[in-house]
Amino acid sequence: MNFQGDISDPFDIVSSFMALHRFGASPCFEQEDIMTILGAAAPVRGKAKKEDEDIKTQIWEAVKENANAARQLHLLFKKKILDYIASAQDVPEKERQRAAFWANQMVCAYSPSNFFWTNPMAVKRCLDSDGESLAHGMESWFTDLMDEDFLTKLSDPRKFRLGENLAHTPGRVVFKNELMELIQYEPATLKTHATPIVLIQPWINKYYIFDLTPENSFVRYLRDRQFTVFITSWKNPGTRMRHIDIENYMFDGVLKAVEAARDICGVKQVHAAGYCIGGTILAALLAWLNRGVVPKRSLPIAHWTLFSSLVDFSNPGELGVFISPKILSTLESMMRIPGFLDKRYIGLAFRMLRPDSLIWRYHAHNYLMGGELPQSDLLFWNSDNTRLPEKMTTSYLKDFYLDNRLCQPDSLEMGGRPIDLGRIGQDLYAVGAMKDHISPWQETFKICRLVKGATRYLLSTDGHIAGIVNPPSDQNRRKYRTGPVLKTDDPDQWCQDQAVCTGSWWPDWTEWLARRCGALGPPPALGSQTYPVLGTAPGAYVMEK
Amino acid sequence: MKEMILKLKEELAEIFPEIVTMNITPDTLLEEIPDWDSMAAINLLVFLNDHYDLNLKQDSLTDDTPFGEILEQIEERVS
Repeated sequence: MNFQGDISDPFDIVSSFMALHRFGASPCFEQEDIMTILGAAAPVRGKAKKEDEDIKTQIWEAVKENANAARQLHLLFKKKILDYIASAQDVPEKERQRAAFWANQMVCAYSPSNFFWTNPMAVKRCLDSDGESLAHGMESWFTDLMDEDFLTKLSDPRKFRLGENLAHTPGRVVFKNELMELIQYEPATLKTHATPIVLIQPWINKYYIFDLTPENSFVRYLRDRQFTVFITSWKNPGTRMRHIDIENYMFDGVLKAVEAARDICGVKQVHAAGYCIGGTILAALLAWLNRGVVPKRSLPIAHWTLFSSLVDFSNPGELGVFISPKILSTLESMMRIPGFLDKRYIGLAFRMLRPDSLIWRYHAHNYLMGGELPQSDLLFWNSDNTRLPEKMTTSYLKDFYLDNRLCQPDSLEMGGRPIDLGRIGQDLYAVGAMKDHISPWQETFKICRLVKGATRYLLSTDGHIAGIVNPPSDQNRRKYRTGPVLKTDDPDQWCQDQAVCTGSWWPDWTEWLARRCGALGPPPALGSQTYPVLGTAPGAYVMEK
Repeated sequence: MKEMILKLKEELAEIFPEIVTMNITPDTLLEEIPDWDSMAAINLLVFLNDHYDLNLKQDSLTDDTPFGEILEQIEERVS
C-alpha cells in the first residue's frame, strides 16, 4: 500500500514505518524474551496471598514486583522497537528519524508508570491516603477536561500572576501597533550605558521568559548592570491577523522597536539581541540594513547578539520531524478557516519533543498520584503558548525550514532587497546550548561563519531555555565555553579547543556589552515626545489568551 | 547509604523508568540517566520537593551532579 499523499496519514507516520519495512528492518520480538521476564514475575504474585501479612503491605509488595516485571518488559519493547528501526538498510535518514520519533511517542505512552496498577508510588499513595490521592487525581483530570487542557497541566496557574510575581520588573509600554508592544524598563542605577539593549523575543511564546521571578529575570540582571533595556511583547494573533507575514515582524516589529529605542535614548545606534525566531528575523534585518547605501556606522544597530537562533535550517533538530511538504500542506488546511495556527498544536508539538518529561510524568504525577501541581515559573511560561498567523507560518516553514533560503546569498528577497547574511559587518555575540533540541548548537554556530563581522560564540550547557535563562547564583554549577570564531572553524573542534568555565555565562556577555555600549551617563527618561508612555509593564498583549 | 540509594532508585523509577537498569552509586552522575536534560532536571526538582520537601535551585542540578550530593541533602533534610 502506498501512503504517499494519502490524507489518512497527514503527518507521514505510517509511510515512515512502511519505508522501514521496505528497506528490510528485521522483526521485533522473540517470544523467549517475554516469557523469561514473565516467568521471573510469576512467583512473586503468590506472595500477596500470605494471610499473616498486613493486606496493604501485601498489595504494595505485589504491585512493586509486578511493576518491576512490567518495566522490564517495557524496556525490552523499547529496545526491540529501536533495533527494528535501526536495522533497516539504506533508508533515508529523515524517514528513519520520523519513524523513531513516532515510535518513541508510542513507547513513552505505554510506559508502566502511566498506568495505576503498574505505578507502585501511585498505589502506595492511594493505600496510605485511603483513596484520597486517587480522588484528587480524578478531580485534577476533570478540571483539565473542563479547561480543555488535554495534555495535563504542567504548573499551577493559580500561583502565578503576570505583573505581580512574574513579568513584574517595573517598566512602561512606550510603543504599540497591531503587532507589538515595546516595553522600556525603569533604570535601576544612577548611571547607564549610552547604548540601549533591545531584546527581540520569539513570538511562538510570551516575552516574559526573560522576566520570570526576580532571581531568574534576565532583564532585571541587565538593568542592575547599568543597561537601558527594551523588550518586544508580541500580540497573540487572531483571525484578523491572518495576512501578517514574516516581513511585518521584521519591519513593523523589530525595526520599529529599534527606531523607538534610538529616539527615546537620543542615540544613533542600539545593541539588538534576538532569541530563537526573534534572532532569525534579526539576522535577516541586519542583512537588509547592510544591503543599503548607508555606511555601517550610520546603521541603527551597532552590534548584535543571538540566543539559540537558526539561520541555516539544513539540520533543524528534532523539530524537523514536523517539517515536510505534506505536513506543511496539512497545516495550511488546518489554518484555512481560523487564519492562524492554534496554540494547542504548537504546545503539543513542543511537548512531544520530550514526551516523557513534558507529558507522561505529569499524567502520572497529577492524575495517578493525585500530586499537587508544581510551582515552577519556567513550566508556567512553557504552558503559556501563543497562536501564529497563517501567512507567517506558511512562509516561515516553507522559505526557512523546507527550502533553507535565508543562508543562501540573495535567495530570499525581503522588503525589496535580496538578503545576504555575508554582508553583515557588525560585531556578533552568538549563544548556543549544548542540549538544545530545537536549535542544535552546531547549527547556531554556523552564523559565525556566514557573516563578515567579528564573532564571539558561547556554548552553554543545558537546553533551549535553561541554556539561555542562566542566572548567576551561589548554587550555579552550570558550565560554558566561549571564544572568538574564525570563518574556517569547525564547531566540534572549536568546542574542544575552548576552556570550560563554571557558573552563569551572563557576566561574560555583559562584560562584552559594556565594552561596546558607550560611556555611563544619566539614564534616559521613560518614553519621549514621539514615543510617549502608553501604560505600565507588562502591558496588554502578554495577557491575551 | 546503600539502603537509601535503593529507596531513592525505586522512587525515581516513576520519573526515570530506565533507572531500574542502572547501578546507582553515590558517584553516579545525573547525566548518566537516559534522556537527562533540563526538563528532566525540573522533574527531579519537583520530585525532591514533593517527596522530601527539598527546595533546590535548578542550576544546582547539572550533568555532573553526583547522586551522593542529592542523598546528602535528603539526609540533612530528614534528620
